[in-house]
Amino acid sequence: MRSTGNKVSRVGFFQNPIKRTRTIWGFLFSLPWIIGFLGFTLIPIIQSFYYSLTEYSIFRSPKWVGLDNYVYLFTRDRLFTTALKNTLYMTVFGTALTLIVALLLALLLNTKLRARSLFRTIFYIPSILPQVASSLVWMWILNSRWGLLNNLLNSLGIASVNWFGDAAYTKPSLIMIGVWCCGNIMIIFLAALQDVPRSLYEAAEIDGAGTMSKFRHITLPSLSPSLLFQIIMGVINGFQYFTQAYIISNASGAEQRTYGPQNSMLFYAGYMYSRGFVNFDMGLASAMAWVLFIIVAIVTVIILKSSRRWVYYGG
Amino acid sequence: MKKFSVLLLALAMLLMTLSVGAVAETTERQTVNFWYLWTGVEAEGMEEIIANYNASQDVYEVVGLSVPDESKIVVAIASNEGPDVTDSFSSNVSSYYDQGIMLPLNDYIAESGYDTSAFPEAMMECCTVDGNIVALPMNIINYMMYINTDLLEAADVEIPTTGDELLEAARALTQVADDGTIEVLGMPVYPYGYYLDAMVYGMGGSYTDDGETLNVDNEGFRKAVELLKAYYDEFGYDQISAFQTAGSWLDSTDPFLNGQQAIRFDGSWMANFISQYAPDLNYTCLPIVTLNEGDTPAAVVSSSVFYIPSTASCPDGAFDFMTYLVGPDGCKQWLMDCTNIPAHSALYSDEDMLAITDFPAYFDAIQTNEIFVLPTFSNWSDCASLISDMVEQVIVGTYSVDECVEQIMTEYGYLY
Repeated sequence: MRSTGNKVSRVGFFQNPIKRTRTIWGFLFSLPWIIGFLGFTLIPIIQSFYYSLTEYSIFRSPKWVGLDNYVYLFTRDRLFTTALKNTLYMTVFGTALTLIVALLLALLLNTKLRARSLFRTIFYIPSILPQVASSLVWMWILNSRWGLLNNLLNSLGIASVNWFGDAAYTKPSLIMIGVWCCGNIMIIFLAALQDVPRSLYEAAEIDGAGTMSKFRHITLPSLSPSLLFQIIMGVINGFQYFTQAYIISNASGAEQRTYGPQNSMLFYAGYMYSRGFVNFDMGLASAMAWVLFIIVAIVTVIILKSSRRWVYYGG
Repeated sequence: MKKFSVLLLALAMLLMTLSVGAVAETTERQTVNFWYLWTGVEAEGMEEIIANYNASQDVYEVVGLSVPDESKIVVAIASNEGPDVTDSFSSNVSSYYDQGIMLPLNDYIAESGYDTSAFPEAMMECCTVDGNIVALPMNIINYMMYINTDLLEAADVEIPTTGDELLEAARALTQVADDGTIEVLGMPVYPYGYYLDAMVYGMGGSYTDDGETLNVDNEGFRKAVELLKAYYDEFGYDQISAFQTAGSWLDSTDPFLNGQQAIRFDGSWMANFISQYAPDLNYTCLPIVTLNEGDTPAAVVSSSVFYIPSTASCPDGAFDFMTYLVGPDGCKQWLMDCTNIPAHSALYSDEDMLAITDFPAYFDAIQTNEIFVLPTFSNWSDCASLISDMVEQVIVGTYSVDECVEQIMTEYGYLY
């Protein structure tokens, strides 16, 4: 009976001119997006996988090399592992620190603070500044000789730090700049905090819960869906880290060290860009893109799987 | 009668159309698209050259566009939407030609009788791949040794002529504060990237034996790295690095322009910036030091070059404009305004040129010193990065100089 019913329904569709016209119009209205998706997303993705298996320089036809590009990256490319390690460092520590600071700021700005709107604006503004402009400003703040931060440290009796000239400090400096721009994350946490029902806190207070206990058992679980979203976004952005390192390591000009001291500012996306658009090794750059995609996909799946244990959805 | 009138009218219209077309053909100039990497004042100078060229003839109309991102130009060429003529650096010539980006100019040169012997041999070597001339040079980028004579006199130091003397002078000229901070840098290690090339070739070394493969296993390279290592060991990697990252090249914070750097390797543009930021600075401009007393100074040069992309739609016009551009009439004013050393030898005796600060010293160096060209083989940029990384490992103490040479040659075998 069921199959007959379906058959009747399908026949109805082809025989019903109104349904047919609506479907065709619906398809036509979707067509711009479908064409865009095929032309600018799906086909390029498939093409990039094909190029990753070739030697390709955009001027000559691709030459099939099989897995050679992948083998080269993992066995012979001396900068690939450096780029990967630096990127992992930025992803892990940068994401963690940014989320912690953003959460602390959101908690602070969720209290009944005087001039709360003003502080919210002040902490949010850095995140809307162009990255190029903010990087150049930070280059001066962290200047080893005349920088504001070193002057401040000196006035406290602490020796100057060579922020961008010492391989041990370059990545922490970049993380500091990233943390300064955490306004977007702070706003999302703030919105999530305002959604936590007051009744939960009141009930906990009646049961004698302290500040830390309320934070651990009410605030954090209530924020966990937002936290999950921010962790995933932070990890993806961390693996794609590019702009600030590129600007800061190139801004001094005159062929200084391209990727900072001892390549400490060589990040995956920057190296991939350099391979693709400076050396025109598009095959190798495509292979790097696929390796990055696989790494990000694995990390995202791990985070999502783990989220079943620590993310709580209301209701 | 009616048919005849219609026929007559049609004939008249056809004649009119043809005549209008003929007039248009004689007056319409072919467009030559010229994209250049320069911006700001240098771009304004380029537009002046274009205007002068357009005023000088009536066959081609050059349209200029400043495109400072070279990868954008190359991608546009690959997409068949690029210019008819553009510029790059001599270090890219071989790689670009191998990729099929550059059009060989041999036929155009032969047909027009263009005289390439007006350029120094080394400069044409920069522009030639597999016997094909694929670009034309406009300037010569050559590093000289700038010495702050006030600092030299204050420290009672003689002008160094050899590598060992340079190190001794640098030691004496370096001023260190009580906390170890360097106040005056003696060694020309700012900008960091300018030291090695100049010193390797100055010490009689090279990066290649055959012009096609990397080889740094020579005395000049070792000596240049040893001197660098000795200076870093004495004054500390951290302190020198802090000094290097504090200032910006050629602006008001540049240490040489502030009197905080005693010896500097840099190019002919320095005169412009010294007059702009430090007009009272007393300095002298000399060839790079040599390995031994009495050796002929050597210089390693590169150049800004112009080429016709393989996808150019008007290559004839591009060649015509290019020869004007690199010729003495085309680029003289631009070179003078930007204090760039000309590649065209006709300008070496030009009085206006000789009147520019430091130019006589540069002309003398080009004509009497040994001139070498930086390698131009396809993966040179990877090689340069490899050399820089390994030398840095010597400075920080990971490798000895011998290990550095060995490591460079081993890693070279792994390059893509």
